[in-house]
Amino acid sequence: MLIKKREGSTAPSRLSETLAAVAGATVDRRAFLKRSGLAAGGAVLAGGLAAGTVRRAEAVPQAPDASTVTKRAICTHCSVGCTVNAEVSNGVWIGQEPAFDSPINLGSHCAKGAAVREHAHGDRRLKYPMKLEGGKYKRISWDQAIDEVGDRLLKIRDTAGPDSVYWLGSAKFSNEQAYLMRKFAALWGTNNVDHQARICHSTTVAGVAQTWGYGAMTNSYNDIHNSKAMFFIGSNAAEAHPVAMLHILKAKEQNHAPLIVCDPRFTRTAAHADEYVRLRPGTDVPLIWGILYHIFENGWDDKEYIRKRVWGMDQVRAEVAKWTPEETERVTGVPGIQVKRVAEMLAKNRPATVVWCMGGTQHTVGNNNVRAYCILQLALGNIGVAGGGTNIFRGHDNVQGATDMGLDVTTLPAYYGLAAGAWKHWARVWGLDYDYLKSRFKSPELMEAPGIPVSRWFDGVNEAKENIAQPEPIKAMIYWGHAPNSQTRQPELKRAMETLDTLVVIDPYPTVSAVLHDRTDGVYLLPAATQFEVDGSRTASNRSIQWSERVIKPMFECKSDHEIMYLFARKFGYAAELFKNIKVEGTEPLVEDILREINRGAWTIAYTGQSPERLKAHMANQQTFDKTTLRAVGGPCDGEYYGLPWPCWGNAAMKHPGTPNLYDTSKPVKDGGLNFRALFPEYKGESLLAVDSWPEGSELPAGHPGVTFGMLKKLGWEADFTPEEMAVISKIGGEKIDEVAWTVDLSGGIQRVAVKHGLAPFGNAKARAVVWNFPDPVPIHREPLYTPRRDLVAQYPTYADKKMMRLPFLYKTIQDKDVSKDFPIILTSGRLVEYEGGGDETRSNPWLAELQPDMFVEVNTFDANNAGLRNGEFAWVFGPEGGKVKVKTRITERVGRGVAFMPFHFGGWYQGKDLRSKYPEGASPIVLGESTNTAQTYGYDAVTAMQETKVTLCRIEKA
Amino acid sequence: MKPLAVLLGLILLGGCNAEERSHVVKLEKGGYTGTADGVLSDATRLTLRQRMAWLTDGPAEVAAGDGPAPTATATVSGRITGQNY
Amino acid sequence: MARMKFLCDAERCIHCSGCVTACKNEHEVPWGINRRRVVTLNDGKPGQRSLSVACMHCSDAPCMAVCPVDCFYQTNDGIVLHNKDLCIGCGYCFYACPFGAPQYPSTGNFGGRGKMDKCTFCAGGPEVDHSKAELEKYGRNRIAEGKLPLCAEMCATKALLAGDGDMVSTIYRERVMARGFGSGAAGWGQAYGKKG
Repeated sequence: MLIKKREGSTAPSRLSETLAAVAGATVDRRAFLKRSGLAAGGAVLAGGLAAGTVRRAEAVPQAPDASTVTKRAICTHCSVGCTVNAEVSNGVWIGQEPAFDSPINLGSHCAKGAAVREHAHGDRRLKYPMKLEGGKYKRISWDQAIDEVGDRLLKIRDTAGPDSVYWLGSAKFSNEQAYLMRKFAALWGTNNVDHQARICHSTTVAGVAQTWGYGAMTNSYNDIHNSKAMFFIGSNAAEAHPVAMLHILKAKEQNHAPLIVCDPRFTRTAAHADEYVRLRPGTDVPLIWGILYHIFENGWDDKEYIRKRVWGMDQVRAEVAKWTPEETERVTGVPGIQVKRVAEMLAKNRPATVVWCMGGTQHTVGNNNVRAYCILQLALGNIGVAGGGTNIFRGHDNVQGATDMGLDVTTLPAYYGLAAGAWKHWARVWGLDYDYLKSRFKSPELMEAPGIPVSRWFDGVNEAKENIAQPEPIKAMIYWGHAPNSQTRQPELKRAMETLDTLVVIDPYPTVSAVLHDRTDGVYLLPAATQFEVDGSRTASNRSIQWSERVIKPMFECKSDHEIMYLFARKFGYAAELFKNIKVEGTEPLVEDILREINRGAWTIAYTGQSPERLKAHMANQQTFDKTTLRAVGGPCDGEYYGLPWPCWGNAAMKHPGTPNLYDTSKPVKDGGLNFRALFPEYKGESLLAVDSWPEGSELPAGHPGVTFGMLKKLGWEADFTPEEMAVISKIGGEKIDEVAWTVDLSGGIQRVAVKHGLAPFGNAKARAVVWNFPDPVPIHREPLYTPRRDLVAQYPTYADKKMMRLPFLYKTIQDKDVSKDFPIILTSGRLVEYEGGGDETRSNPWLAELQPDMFVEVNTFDANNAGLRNGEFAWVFGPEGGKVKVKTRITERVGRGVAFMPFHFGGWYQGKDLRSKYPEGASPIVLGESTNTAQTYGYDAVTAMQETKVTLCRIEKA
Repeated sequence: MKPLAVLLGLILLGGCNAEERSHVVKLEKGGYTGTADGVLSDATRLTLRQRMAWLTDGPAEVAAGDGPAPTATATVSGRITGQNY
Repeated sequence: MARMKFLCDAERCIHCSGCVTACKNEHEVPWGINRRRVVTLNDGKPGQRSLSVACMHCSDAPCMAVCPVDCFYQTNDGIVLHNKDLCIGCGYCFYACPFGAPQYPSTGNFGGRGKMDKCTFCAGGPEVDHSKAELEKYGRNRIAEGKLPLCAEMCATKALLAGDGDMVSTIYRERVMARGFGSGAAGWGQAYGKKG
């Protein structure tokens, strides 16, 4: 039998109880960890809070009790838009429960989503405003920060002009914050305002919008349930959008839909594929044309669909005819037989959905790639049908919304552009005088000229002054929620940071911006609240807008982004103008009021029906929405689509249900149906209007241009307008009332009447397979700037050098120089599931950091052995422009011979040097590592200045 | 002498950490004799069973269609001999 | 009522590690302890498969059989739990476990001698349900709240199933039937000499 010191006792002795009482040891989280014997890496992680830091939620594990409330927020990582159900007790975020009611994630989370409660600890956050002084970060007050930064910026504005301050916003903003920031920059007087979309999906937004109307995901994650085949190119959903796989695998299992994955890497998504196509990086157009070759050759194209709804396909046919199986194989490396098999799969399993991400967009020919994907779908007749579409998975949680809100160098909110008409429209919405807005800019030309893209802001500092098409170079940079390590050419970026007069970082974390440069002063770090600490709406990839409830109050001295905008606007003297229609409580603007202002102005994409009240009702009634159609069945939102996916025509009172699948003519417009947009009703005398195709129930069964008041009058529907609507329209139109279009009518009457009679307000035209206003009207192949296939350069050369967006852009000059001898390996980059973006937040989260502690390069066994590399050891990766990174080697067959891969989430090392000591104390991420972008090189899309991250060259050596 | 031994024993015992008191000092394999755990009520069991509905993503449906039978065995392909990448 | 079981559907597991962080989140499991881990076989090659592994709550648990101090017990629902007050941290269960489930903290006060820690099926330990002692030593007790293990409830692709064994198999069987091809369960290929 067992002899024990004391039988069956687990009760603590009176002695130890007494001791505990004497020591005053209440059980907090750390004590729990110790007591349960789990304190392991605690010491490693403890980097520690300086004594006397501000309030911090000490998250004690505790079971929910009566004081526990559940807050419904949205995950702040990728664009899938998973609902997070947060349990909060007495202001402390104590638990996270699966959000089973969400039609998007059905309770599921990936590693990042399941770890968002780490917020409750926030150990590595930037805790209070700081200022770099003598090479050290020192704590300052908010008042001092706003004052000093404000004075510096105002001085630059006075001496160099408003364009010398760059306002870099964020895809992590809510819609309201993104919109407010764009307006903020407009009042400051510059178009130098951008965000991550530039380096993420800008080529998609431009290319896809120019093809058929809106540059967004056409269907939804859920709609993939209806797909009969799935074609992924340049998307690793299993790591970048893990919860999307829930829907993808459902289609695979239940529809027996073949999953085709085209990627240079055998990714975790490819591991679930029925067909894995390994193509050479940068040969997307040839691959798609190679597939279309078989589709046209065998008559698998949907000729009737093309006749009715597509313009220019004949020109595409001529180009595609060049891409025989032999030529396709020679250029892409994909065996001809496989290309044919894929073509047949797509032809015989309709509808198929096409999914792409940054593997397609981040190229010098990004706009060509995305248009080629669109054309493939148009040829198959797969656009505007459930189960089809181009399901473009966006990156960040609100990159779709921030793009829609015009946080961009080329447009005002809702894609109105920068022409005078656009400014006048927004001036009306803002209740400001157009001349006042004009007076804020250095010149009317600069007011209407696109700004410098974020992908190249540092060239706006480094370039010779005469090469920059604005009065003075950039002198101050505001990094407001953006990781610098996600940008290529880090050595150049570092140099620019060192040249600037002022560098300001506004972020929940110090980010790599705090440490990359060797400055000793002129840097300010301002702690921002995260989206879990504010209310606001965010737009998921499928255009559903979800209201995210505040979970906890901003921790430490963090302030919400909109409050910081208010503080700066007050300092700059335009708070009254900025917040004319928006209530400000204390110093915090009311988020709902900002959304209402958006609703009053964003007619082009119809962000107008999504009032705060409607969005909140959707969140509260998630369980009533169908998990495939996203349509509410019964309940208070009956008949509406989840999150009122834009366009949600007219104003909120009109109760449009939102548009779940774009361009779907099988439904009336009032029920979410649509057709292709009439961006260009004609070209060289030829009509582009749709033929024999219109949305169900249209009372104008024909193609037509965008709706104007005059057009509705001609159709005899003038009597449908209310007197109030007429008053607004007359006021906007004045003498030219007939010209008032659906985009500028602030009453929403034009949209209401058009939709009432079944018309799509934006017209009804054909999709353009030929985008004549782009450098390559029909997408063609162009070899990457840094290519190992010198034999193809003469036949498939890149563009000539040119100037746009205030800067010179080099193409031929770079491609002409052959570096492939010294740099023989193709270098590409991508995502890991554990981290997000530049990774400052996720690498600071111990639950995630533990899973991926090292920056690495994936090298094929063959290349590794040739270079004498050993698995797990350090290697140097050298880029052809002089950058180099020291990373761990991972030898794998995941990448093919001659290709290496690095993830882009790491930062905090620079060319072999660990920068941890430069971070503010206690605020460095747990995991630091080299940024792949230190080795990555020049190359920008010819339309949008998207950076090329997917093809460059490198040399790898043992370290 | 006897009270002294008992006292000594108590002092020694008191020196131990509370949580170490029930340690086995001699092994003779037997059954668990520690604190008994609680037992779930039938109501809780029922709740647990009902909660399992969330682990599916809706009822499984077999779709019609005459497409190629999926193989679920993706193969690596796409490189031809002598290629330069 | 059958026994509580986990099942990981390899056809669905995408190695996103959501289960791993869900576990860490729920129980505040610190650095270095992984009650659950995802493993990938044939990484980077055709036939790549991922599986999420934790304590399998064996019916005839080897850990229980070998424990020198008999700190293990099974609940009426077949959940294998242990008593940290009795555990001496010898690591013998580590030898016996076919899945590498037991974890040993390297430092710490209570764990100074390395008390074993493992997946509790979110059922806490022998202490009174939801008591401070239970929370401190074993983490949250979801089962007593009528909730299933968080790893399974949060699984990104619903690959990881947990709960009553007969229901787990019902859900899984329905899926396999709909798929009409092979099985995603690990070991299928081994058992039937089939690829996959």
